[in-house]
Amino acid sequence: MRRDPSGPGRRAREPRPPRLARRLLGRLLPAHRGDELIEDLAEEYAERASRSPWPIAGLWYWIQALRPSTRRFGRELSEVRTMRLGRHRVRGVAPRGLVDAIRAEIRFAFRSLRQRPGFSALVVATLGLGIGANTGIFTVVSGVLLSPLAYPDPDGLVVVGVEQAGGGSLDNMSLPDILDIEERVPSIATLVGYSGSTATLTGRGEPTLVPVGRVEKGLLSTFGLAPVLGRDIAPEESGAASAAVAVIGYGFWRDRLRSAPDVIGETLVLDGISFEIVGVAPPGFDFPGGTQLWYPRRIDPDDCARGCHTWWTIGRLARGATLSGARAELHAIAARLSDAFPDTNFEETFGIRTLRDEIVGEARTGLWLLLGAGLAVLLIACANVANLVLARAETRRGEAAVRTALGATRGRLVMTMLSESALLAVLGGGLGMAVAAGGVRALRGMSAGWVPRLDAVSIDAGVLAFTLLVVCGVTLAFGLSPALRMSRTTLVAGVRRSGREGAIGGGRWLRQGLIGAEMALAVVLLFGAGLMLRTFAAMYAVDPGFETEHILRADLTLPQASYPDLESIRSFYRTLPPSTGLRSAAPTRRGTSSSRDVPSPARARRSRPPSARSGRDTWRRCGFPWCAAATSSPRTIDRRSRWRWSTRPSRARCSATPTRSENGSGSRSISGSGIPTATSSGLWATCARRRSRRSPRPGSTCRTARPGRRS
Amino acid sequence: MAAHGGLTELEQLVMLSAIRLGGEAYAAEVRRDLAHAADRRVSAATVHVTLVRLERNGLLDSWETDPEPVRGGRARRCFRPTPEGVEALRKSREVMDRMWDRVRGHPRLGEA
Repeated sequence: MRRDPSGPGRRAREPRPPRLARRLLGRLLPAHRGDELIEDLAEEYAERASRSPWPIAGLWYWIQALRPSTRRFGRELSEVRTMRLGRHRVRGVAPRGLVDAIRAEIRFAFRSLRQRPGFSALVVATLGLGIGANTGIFTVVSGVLLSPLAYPDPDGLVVVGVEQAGGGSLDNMSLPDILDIEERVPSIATLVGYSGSTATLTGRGEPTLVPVGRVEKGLLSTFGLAPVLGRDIAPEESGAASAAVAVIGYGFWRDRLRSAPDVIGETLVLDGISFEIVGVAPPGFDFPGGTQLWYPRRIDPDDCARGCHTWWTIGRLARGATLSGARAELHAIAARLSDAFPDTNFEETFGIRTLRDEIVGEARTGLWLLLGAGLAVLLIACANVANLVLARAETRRGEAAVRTALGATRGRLVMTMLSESALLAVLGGGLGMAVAAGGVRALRGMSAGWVPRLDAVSIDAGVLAFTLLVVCGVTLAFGLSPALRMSRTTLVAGVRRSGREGAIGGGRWLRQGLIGAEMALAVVLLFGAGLMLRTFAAMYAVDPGFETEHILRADLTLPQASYPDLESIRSFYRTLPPSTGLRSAAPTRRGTSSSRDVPSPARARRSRPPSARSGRDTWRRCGFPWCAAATSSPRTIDRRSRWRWSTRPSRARCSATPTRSENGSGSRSISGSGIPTATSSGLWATCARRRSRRSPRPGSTCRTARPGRRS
Repeated sequence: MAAHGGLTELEQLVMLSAIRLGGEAYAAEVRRDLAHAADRRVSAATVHVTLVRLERNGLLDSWETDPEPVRGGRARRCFRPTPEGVEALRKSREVMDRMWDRVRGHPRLGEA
């Protein structure tokens, strides 16, 4: 209750100033020293009232109460009180202003936290883990999902491919389809086919395997880049009769050629073939991932027609074109090609997406989910810390009461509590940054490629701003409610309660609410984690359709100069097993089965059975007999299952000739032997040291792809 | 204290009044002194603000007197200049004197 120095009991016979004006002055001026002015005014009012009619004296009193100088006096007194409560008198000169007040609060918060090291360490560790998890995940999200690609106009870069029925990733294309799209789709300014591979570099020290990109034409202009030296690969340099030219990457030029300025015109020997260097790519360009060298892919239109889907694409939208417009045009041209070439393009549709979407792919959903889980962890940490701070605030009610008695305002008490919370949050944020840096480093080591663009991820200004935001949010989240509760402490109740520290009183509902929220979040997280584990377990339990025990996988490239034809390649694989201890071996273009290789049920149902001639021809050119060769006595097909097979050569790896139909549903299993090409890059081998527990029976058929659906 | 570090005119007047009044320099008395001696009529709040500001800046010192020996008599807060306050007052006067010296004899000031 505010005092009334001019109230009853004191100079009872003197005229009393207007009650409302007195109350206003009581509000404007703090008790400490403010009473002096109020008493002076009351004295003068009494004098004036004795000399003149009371309304005139009352008007004078009102004017004094409303004067700006009265409010200024209140502010001056508040600053003086700040000075005294902060024990901040140095050499007789007191601090002034808000900055000094905050500085004093921070010092006070430091002292207060130092007095309770266990509490402080617990809170900082809890917040550090919560903030660290969020900052680490946001660092990855920012680098992978939010930051643009490091190319000019990155939103215009698109990928075109054959659309899968399930809407998954885009499949590779045939060169004639690419040329048709580039020519007939106005929304796409340029479209370049490429394929990634490796080549053996010889003639420059030790033979080295170099990641190379075989391109239809130069990639740099599509990306809007210019070479550092020389020129890009010209369109006329691709094809069967092309010149053997190559563009080298900046890193390759710097590390292997020591940044020689006269490198243009020099030759490199790749797989026994000499290539003339015509250009050096700009720094940082290594598309597709990690490529160090690009050269035109030799194209024989008669040898590899529409059925040969061996090209990935990268293109750029025309100026003003949109992705949806380009998609509509691609659907239109796909329908025309389907009618014109039913053997190879039957019901085939083309899809388009931005390069960033293609690179990020399925990691997007996972990363956002991770960020959500991290946020839940942070909220749980905040609820935990809020409970701790709330419990501590209850024990400090006595302190609040004493400070209130000394003249501390409610805002000042809130500031004190928030200062401590902010200090804890900042310390937790610092620890969180360290946790995040370590987490990102660990993720780089563990991701094994499932998170794209991880090399570009780093803690930058955006991440720091995010952490600062989180720290501010955390401060308010766990500090505000205890601060408000403490500031509402009344003098009497606070002093009484300080005598029995630990009493919770009216804060029980708040603490119970926090515990409830914490439990709810924990349950959500637990369910999410359980479902994820179950999904992983189910994924591991999926039958891939072939024996995986004692099967090894290796990547190797046969130099084209040493293995120019199919017979030499076959001979190599025939002689490989005895010399390496393998029972059998077979090549495949792709190393392992992936989701790309799984034909969707819808796709398989609508696939038109190929004619014997076209299918055999196609597969003889592009397919590989990995299954037949690697499992000389292949596993028997489980007849209880109904399998559907894609007839597309890029999806059927086993062999050439459809032999029989299974269970009358139009699905086929395929057996026989295929013909490898000269550019195989994968090897499946069955280990001969121990026989499989389930030995396949001779003569049974082998499965070439994983099932789209089981019934 | 003004932004330049010196004393404002009102601060100088209040300091001078506090020196003149000796141990009786409380706010109401200072205000009356300013009205009589300097013909400056300022509000009570303004005098209080000035006194508090000078005290906060270490130029004045204050103490509370015993309550007046009458029924309901009140204690008063009295002020006296600190050595720093006297020094600041002297510097302010020196500045003013220097400025006056520089314009001494200027035609616009007449005989001054």
